Amino acid sequence: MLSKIIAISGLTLRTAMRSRVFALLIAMVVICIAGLPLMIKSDGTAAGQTQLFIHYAFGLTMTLLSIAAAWSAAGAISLEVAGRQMHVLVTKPVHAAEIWLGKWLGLMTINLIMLGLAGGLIYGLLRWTTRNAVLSADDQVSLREEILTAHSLIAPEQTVSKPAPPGGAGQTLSAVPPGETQSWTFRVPERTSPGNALFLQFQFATSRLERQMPVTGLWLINADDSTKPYRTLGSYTPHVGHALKLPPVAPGQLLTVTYKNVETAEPATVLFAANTGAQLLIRESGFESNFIRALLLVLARLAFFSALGLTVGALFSFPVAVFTAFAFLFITGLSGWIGTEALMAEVDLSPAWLAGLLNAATYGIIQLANFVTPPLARFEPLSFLPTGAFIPWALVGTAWGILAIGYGGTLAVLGFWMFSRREMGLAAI
Amino acid sequence: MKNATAIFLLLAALLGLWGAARVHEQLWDYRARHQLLAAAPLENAPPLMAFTTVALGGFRGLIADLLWLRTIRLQQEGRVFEIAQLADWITKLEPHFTTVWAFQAWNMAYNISVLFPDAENRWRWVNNGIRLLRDEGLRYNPRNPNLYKELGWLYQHKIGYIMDSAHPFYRRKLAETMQAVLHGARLETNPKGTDPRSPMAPPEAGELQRLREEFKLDPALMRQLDAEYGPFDWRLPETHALYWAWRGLQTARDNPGADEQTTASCSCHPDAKAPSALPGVQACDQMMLQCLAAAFRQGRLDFDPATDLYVTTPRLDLLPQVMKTYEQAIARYDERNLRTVYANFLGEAIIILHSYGRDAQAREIYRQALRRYPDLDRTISYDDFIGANFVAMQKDAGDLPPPNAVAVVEGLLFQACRRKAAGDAKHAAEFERQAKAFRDIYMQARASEDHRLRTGLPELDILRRQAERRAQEETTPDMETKTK
Repeated sequence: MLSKIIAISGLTLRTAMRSRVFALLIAMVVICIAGLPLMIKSDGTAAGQTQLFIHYAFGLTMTLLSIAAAWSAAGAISLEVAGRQMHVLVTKPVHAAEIWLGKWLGLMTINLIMLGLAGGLIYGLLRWTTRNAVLSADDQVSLREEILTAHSLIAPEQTVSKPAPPGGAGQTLSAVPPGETQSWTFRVPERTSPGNALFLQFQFATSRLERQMPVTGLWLINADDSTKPYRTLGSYTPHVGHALKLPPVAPGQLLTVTYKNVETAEPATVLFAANTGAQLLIRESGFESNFIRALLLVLARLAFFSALGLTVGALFSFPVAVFTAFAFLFITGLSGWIGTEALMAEVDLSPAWLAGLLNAATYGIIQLANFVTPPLARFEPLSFLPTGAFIPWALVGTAWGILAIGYGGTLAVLGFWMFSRREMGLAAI
Repeated sequence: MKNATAIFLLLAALLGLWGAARVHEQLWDYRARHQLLAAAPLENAPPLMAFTTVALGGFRGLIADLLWLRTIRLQQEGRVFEIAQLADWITKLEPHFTTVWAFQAWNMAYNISVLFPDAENRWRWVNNGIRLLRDEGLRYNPRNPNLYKELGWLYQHKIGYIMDSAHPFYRRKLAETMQAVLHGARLETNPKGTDPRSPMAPPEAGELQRLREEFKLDPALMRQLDAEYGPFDWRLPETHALYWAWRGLQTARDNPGADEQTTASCSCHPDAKAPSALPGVQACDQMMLQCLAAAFRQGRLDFDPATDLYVTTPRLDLLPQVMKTYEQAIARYDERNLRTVYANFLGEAIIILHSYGRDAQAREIYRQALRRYPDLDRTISYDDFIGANFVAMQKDAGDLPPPNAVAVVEGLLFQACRRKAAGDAKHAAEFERQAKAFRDIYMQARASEDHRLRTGLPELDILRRQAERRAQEETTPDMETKTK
């Protein structure tokens, strides 16, 4: 069985290699990615330029390859049926499942080649545009520590503040009135390498009406083994994420972080989110391994789109299959929005019964779309890579489990069944 | 045979293309003549942009909407690295929609800049906003006075006004850049015998080119503006605002009807007195008046980046030109609001002139004001007017604009210098005491560090040096106009 699958995948791969579409796709990916640094317009900083390049280059690669995967998979079976090549294959002792899996494997090999090429190109350009000759030493360090890295957030073990009244906002917010303090304790994980910089990431709101007026605050950081706390006074803008570089701390140490509200000019109460107001940012791995995990997340979604294309191609003619695959691809692309905002949207019109009916119908359709489409937003590499956020292997495993095995497997079973029942010998006019 | 057919088809296609190109121009003219165009064709647009705007047709608006929604979301999340790119796309998708240009530039300069606590990062975003309007917006909408006014507003209000705590940094950065290009305060013509290597030598061809290409300032027009209204110190933001407002007016004059064709101006300014609510031409006119008045109050700059000295003091010589321009505008618009603004300006001018001991000129303006405004209380004498205003300024010192306070303190110190030079030590000491007392009251009204940072006055010694220099300059004619 395996030899048949491998033989079919080899044929698929050979056909693809010979096709102009494949060459065109390679040319498009190369031109788009290589031309990107010349076209993008960032905020004027090295960090902004790098983030933007990673974001757009990766986004472009995902879009192009997803479309190409759905397109080529939709044609892999349907075009061969239309061109009668499939008749030669199905008359041999080959099961429909073997044909489907062989095609899928061949297409995944192409996806892997294309992704490898695009990934290599992105990485090469990234290194080229951030080389020593181009950036200052400060920019290099800042990029290495903040963006070209993989860091994760550690929640505090304990938050020390005044007890909040039950049921009030104090359950979710920690208030620091003028002159008062708020402390958090963090355990520096043992896996932290002593040479790597630690950051305190924090964000807050204030009691002022003017949303973005800065507040002066004093941070006191004290480790178990330090005799004198590290102090830093600064003016911080509310509603914006701040990262404070901390002095080196040995792994396993307990770190006490205290914020003192020292705003005197225009006193205001500072409000931290109870769980995420202040978090420790630690380096988990290098950028390269994170980059590879991001590519694997993309490959998982390509596995799903290839399975989708093959299944609709097994049922319909090429144009219908492409249309169906693209429609599903479009809806899947909106899965993040569907899962969050669309479910909360409501129509407001009169009469009320009509509005109620429309809301119920829309809600039902959106619920159905949310149920049917895979949760691509959950495995979105762009949520991690451009900001230097760590992609855990567990997430990659879950993405493959859900997208490739769960959704892909369901589509595969559907594809075997439909393809095995498809009538090949219809008279052609 | 097959090859011959292919060649024939290729030739036919080329012929068809050539024919279409020939007809295209005529069709374009026909559409323009019969006003069949929803918007005028893009000028100076790169081919990719021209193609995109035509090819996307009505879908441009939809894509711009989606990009705009993304901009809002990213901004709320504080992820701003993509905003400049999104603003670039949105404005290029709707290149004739001037409100979009104005909003995106304003958003960068006002909303995004304040997300950063440090002045350097803020300045980058203010500059991003200016560049978007100046380098791109005006390139595609060169005949739109609204956009000139919006650009002028960024210089006048964002850099020049005290609203942003980082405004002293912005002012210094602008002054440093312009000083490096101009080798001084303004664009001088090359006097004979000047060593071109001297730091005060006029700008060379490369620097003039930088003025044109990087700052989009036309040296010929700068000289013309200087000749008509100035000369001005080009290191000051108000001068840049004046230049762009003046360019907006010129544009409107050269293209009558352009103002009516443009879309509504940006209503995003938080300041209700901003010229944004007015039609482009009138807003440019109003901005010019505000900038000329500012040049009178604070148009003389003493700037030294090495010692971080940045002091602005009044340009008393500009007063006749400012008054003339106000009176011309009043004759043009005949608006009650404008007359009130002018009356207030005259009041300020009288106080400033009095502070510098120019009472004869101040009295004459007071008389003119009484003649011009019959509603004014004629029972109040000149001396009572001065006395009442000084009391009011000290009582409301917390709200007194810094340029007016600087003018009063430097004026009093200037009189002290003059008296000292005349051997009148007693009166010199009295003016010194008054200057110090006024400065102390002003500074005491600024309890918070932020308030002092935004509106604080320079040290008394610094202002005394300014006053001494002014006193020396006044001994020789025409020296006052020469700012350092």
